[in-house]
Amino acid sequence: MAKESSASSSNSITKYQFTLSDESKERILKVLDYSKTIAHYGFIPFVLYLGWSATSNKPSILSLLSPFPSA
Amino acid sequence: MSSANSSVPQAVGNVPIQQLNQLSIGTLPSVTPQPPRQNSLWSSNPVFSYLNDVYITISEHRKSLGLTNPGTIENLNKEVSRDVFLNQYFFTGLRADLNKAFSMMPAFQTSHTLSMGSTILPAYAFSSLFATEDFFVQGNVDNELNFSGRINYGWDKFNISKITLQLAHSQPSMIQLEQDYQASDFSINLKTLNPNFLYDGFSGVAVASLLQSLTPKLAVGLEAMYSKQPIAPPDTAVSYVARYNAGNWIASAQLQAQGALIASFWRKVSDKVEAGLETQIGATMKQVADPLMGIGFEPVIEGQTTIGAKYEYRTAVFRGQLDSTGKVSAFLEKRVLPTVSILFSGEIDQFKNSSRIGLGLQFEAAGNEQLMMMQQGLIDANGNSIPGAPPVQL
Repeated sequence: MAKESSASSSNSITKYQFTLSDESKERILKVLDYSKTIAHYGFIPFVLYLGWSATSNKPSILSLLSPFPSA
Repeated sequence: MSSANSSVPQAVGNVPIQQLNQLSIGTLPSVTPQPPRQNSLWSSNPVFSYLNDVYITISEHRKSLGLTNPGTIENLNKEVSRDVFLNQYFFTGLRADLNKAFSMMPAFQTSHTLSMGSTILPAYAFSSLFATEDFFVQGNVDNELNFSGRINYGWDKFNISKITLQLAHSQPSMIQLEQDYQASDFSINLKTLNPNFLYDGFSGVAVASLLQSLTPKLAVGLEAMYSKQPIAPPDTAVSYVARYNAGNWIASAQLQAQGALIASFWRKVSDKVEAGLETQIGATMKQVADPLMGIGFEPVIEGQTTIGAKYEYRTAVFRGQLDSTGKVSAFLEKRVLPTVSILFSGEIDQFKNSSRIGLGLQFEAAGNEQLMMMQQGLIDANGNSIPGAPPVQL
């Protein structure tokens, strides 16, 4: 890694890039992976919660998920 | 005005009454008040005050041209490709949509889609949507747990940020960040697909586009794309677009970087009928075996033209189209009850002798009594009853 950065800095064309250690790269990838999982499973419940809290009659979870008219 | 008044008595004292007309009294200030000039360093120093004056002159001239926002490049031929043509609506097999609305203002609804015999539509999909005036969020998940989500947020009336997410277990995930800036006479759109800074600088796709109105009807623009995958060399492409909107007809053209030209024409025939025409001409390289030259490449120009029409009736929408590859297709959406509509789509490929058909049902359900009464046309959006009125089409 250190070799690479010294090589790129010796080039006449300087590359603007983050120099991150492999560990922090791995950590970032892990955090991204977790956030992906959270988005995958948490997004729809989040939308349902937003809608539920904005609806005046606060429908029950069964009524939110069932496709049949609940009135 | 007050300074002019205070200077007059002194001037009168020095000048004889016969030579009043030679007095150097400034003309009356114009009726419209001058905007207050800030006396800070930025406006009082000569360079910046000159620049400010230039800027004000240019912006006033721009205002005097009467230009309007041209829309975005994404919607360049929206009237033809999305409204008239049935590419977006076409489906095969059987399908049922069960939509359920819980609230109108903010909009909140869920939707269950069941499908059979389709290669594209999943067997079951659930989606929910929540929208206020400046915020829109939508999520969609199917029976294989493939997820797609969209968040739009409008910071003010010019700026919209958009995030699009697609996550699936077996395929690489996709995220797209987008910023829309729609000013009074131009639109700028910046978007990036799967941006990544971890491996040797930027990788992913970045697209910037600008669409500028030149006259109240004509807008031109260009779109630049930069794509870089790790290891592979970067790729760039620029495409040029133009759009002429004459009220009841719109013509647009796109010249894409690979040499493809897409021209489209939309016309409002009457207030219920719209027609659209789209031509695509593309140059591709085709491998040919020549007895003298051996294997070589020769450029092939391919074209495709599609013509379509959309009819809007009181309870039905009909779309039909015909293209130069011999495909005839039709899509019909008919509301049989205030809460039930029937969808039919069919396509016949005359040259290949094949056909596809789709049949669907769409149900609208309500999450509370007021919405249910609204859907059945018994009350209007304000909750007032409609005595003896024909059912409202929602």
